[in-house]
Amino acid sequence: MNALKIYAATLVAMLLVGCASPPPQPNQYSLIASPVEIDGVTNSSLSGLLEVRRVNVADYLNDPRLMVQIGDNQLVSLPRQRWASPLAGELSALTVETFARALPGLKVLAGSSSEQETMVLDVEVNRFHLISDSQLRVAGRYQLKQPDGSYITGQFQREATFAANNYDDAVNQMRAIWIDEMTRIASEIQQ
Amino acid sequence: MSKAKISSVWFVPIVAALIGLWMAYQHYSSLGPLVTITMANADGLTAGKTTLKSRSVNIGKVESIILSDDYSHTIVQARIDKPYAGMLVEDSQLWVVKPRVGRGGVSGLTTILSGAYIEVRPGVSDKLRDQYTLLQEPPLGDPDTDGIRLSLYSEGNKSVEAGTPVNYKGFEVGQVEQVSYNTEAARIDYILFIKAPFDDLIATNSKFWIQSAIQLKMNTEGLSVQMDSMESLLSGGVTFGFAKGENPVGRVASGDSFKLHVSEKEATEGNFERFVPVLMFFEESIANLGPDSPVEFRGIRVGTVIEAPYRKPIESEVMSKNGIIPVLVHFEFERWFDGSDIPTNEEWYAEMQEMISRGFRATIQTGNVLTGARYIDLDFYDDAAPVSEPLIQVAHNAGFKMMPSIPSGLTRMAEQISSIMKKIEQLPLENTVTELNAVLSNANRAMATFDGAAAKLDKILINEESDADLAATLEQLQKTLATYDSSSALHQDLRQTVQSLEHVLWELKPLLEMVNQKPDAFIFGGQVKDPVLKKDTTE
Repeated sequence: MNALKIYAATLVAMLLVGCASPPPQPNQYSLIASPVEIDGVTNSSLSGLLEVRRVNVADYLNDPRLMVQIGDNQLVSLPRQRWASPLAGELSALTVETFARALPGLKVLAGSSSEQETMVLDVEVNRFHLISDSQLRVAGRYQLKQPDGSYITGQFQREATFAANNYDDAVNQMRAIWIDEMTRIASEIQQ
Repeated sequence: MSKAKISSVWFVPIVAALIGLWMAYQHYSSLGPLVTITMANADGLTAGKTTLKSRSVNIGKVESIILSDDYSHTIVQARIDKPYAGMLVEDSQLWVVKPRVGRGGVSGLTTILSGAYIEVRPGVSDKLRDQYTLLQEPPLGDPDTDGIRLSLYSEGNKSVEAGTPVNYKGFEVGQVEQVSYNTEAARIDYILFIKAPFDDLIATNSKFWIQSAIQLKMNTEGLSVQMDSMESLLSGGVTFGFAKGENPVGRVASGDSFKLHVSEKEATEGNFERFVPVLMFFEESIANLGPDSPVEFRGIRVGTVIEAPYRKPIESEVMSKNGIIPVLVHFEFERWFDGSDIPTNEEWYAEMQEMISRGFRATIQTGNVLTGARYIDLDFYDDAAPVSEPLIQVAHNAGFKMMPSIPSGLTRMAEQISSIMKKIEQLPLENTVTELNAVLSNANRAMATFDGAAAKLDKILINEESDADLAATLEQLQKTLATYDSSSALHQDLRQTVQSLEHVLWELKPLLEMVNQKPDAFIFGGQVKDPVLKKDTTE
C-alpha cells in the first residue's frame, strides 16, 4: 500500500512537471548598452572635478519593469519589458558618461568622493514611463553647484513618440532625451 | 664936413644880441616855479637827475641839493614844469619813492633801476606854496578814494601800527592811517580808513578788535589753535563785526569813535548788559578759577566769574574762622533767556530762591584735566545742606544776593571716604577676624582631605601599568575603526553586499507581486503577458 502511494505521488509530480511550460524570458533593456556618441560642448574650458550624485528616481520607478500610464493617475508595469539593472544606476552611469563626453576637460565621477570637488550635480527623475503604445514622457529637475558656490537649477519635461509597441525604440527615445537634457545642462555650465 | 655913418658891420652882432635876448626870454619865460624842499637827508637823490613825478608823469627836476646853514638837514631845490605849477599848493604832499618793505608789502621796486624820485600829491587848496617839508613815509590812503574815516581808541598797549590792514572776512577793506597817544585821555587813538563800499558794513553798534594771526585757546573745552592768512600772520590786522545776536543799527559818519578791543572774544562776547551779580562762598581751593571762568548749568553757560576771590573787605567771623572764599559771579541773562523773555532782577532773585530751596547749589569742577581749568557748575542736589543764614547776611551786607555752594566732587568723595572709614572703625573686626580664622582653619582641613583624595586619583590615573593598558586599548580601537574606513576592504565588501542585496530585492519585486496575487503561480505559472496599451490618439 505504501509503495502504491509513493508511485502515485511520483506520477502526479511527473505529470505536473511535464505539463508546466518553460517560463518566457522577459526583454531586458539598458540605457548604457551603447556608448554615448555626442560632440563635446564647444569652447569648453572647464576643468576640475564634477561629482554626479546618484540619480534619484521616483519610488514607482524603483521597479525592474517598464511602467506605463494608462489613466490620469494609474500606472501599470510591463512584466516582459524590464530594465537590466536598477533605473537609478542606469541613469547615473548615463549621466556620467554624457558629461564626460560633453565636457572633456572635467573629471567626472559618480557618487561622493573624498576629493575636493569643484561641482556637484543632483538630478531627480519624476517621470520616466510610456503613456501609450507609441508615446513616452520623461521629466525631472536638477541642481548644479558651480565652482564659485552658486547654483544652477532647472527642470525638464519632454514627450516623444516611438514606433508603436516597439519598446526597444521607446528605450532609445528615453535615452536620447536624457542625453539631450544632460548635454543642455553641460552647456549651461559653460555659460 | 663928413657925415658919421654906422658901419653895416654892426648889423650882425646887433641881430645876434637880439636873438640871444629873445632866446633868454623864451627860456626864462618857460621855466616853472622853483620850490624848496626840506628833508632829513637826500638819500637816493641826485641834483640834475632826480625827477618829480605825479601819477607817474614827470613834472619837474631837482636842480640842487645843499645842506642847511646849521648842517642839520638837507635843502633840495626843484624846478617844476610851468604847466604843473598849479599843483604845488598849501596842502600838497611830497615824499621820496624808493624801494620799501613795509606792512603794506613791497613797493617802489621800479626805482631800483631808474633811481628814486619825488612823488607829488597835489592838494585841493588854491593857495600856492614854494616851501615844503618832505614826508618821511608815503602818506596812507588816497584822498580820492571813496570811503570813511573812523576814530578808534584803546586803553591797552599799542598793538597796531599805521599801515596795518583792516580786514573783513578775509578781505582787506581799509587800513590804519594814523596811530597816536592821547595824553589827556591816557589812551591810544587810531584813525582808520574803510574803503567804499565796505563802509556800508559799519554800523553804530559795530565792534572793532585786533585780529590775531594765531589764536591759541586753552579753556575747559581743551586746546584749540586758529590761524589766519599768512599776510595777517606777518602784518596782523584790525577787523570788525557785531556782538553775537546783534544786527546792524544805524549808519556811521566820518569821525565816529569806537573802542578797539584786544580780541574778538572781548568784543563780541563780553557784552552782556543784562546780568545779576551773585556772591558765592566756597570752603575749598579755588585754584585755576579766575575772572572769565565760565559758570554753567548742566553744561550750558549761564554766567561768568568776575572776581575770584572777591577782594572787597567783608567783615565776617564766619568766613575768617572757616576759611571761606567769596567769589563774585555774574548771571548773564542773555546767555540763557531769549531777548524778549529776560526777567527783571527781582523776578530772577525770587526764582533763584525757589530753586535754592529745591537744592540748587554751585560747585567748583575741573573742566579740563590737561589744563586744570576749572569752572563753577550749577545743579540740583537732593542731599544739599541747608543754606547758611550768616553767609546770606554777609552777602547782603556786601550788596549782593548769595548763591549757596557745596563741596566739589573730590571734596565730597573725601568726605564720603572719611565717613566709610569711620563706619569701618565701628565694625566688630576682632570678632569677625576670629570667626574668619576658624572658618579658614576648617577650610584648610577640608582642603587637606581633598588633596589626599586627589593624590589617590592621580595614582590610579597616572599608574604606568594603567597607562600602558589604556594606550593598548586605544591603539586596538583605532585599528578596529580603521577597518571600517570608507577606503578599507571591509567597507568596500560591505557596500557591494548591500548593493547586491538591493539588486536581488529589486529583481524579486515582480515575483513577489505575482505570488502575492496568485500563490499557485510557482506551480502553474503566472501572468507574463504585457497588457495591451492604448493607441496613441494624438495623431
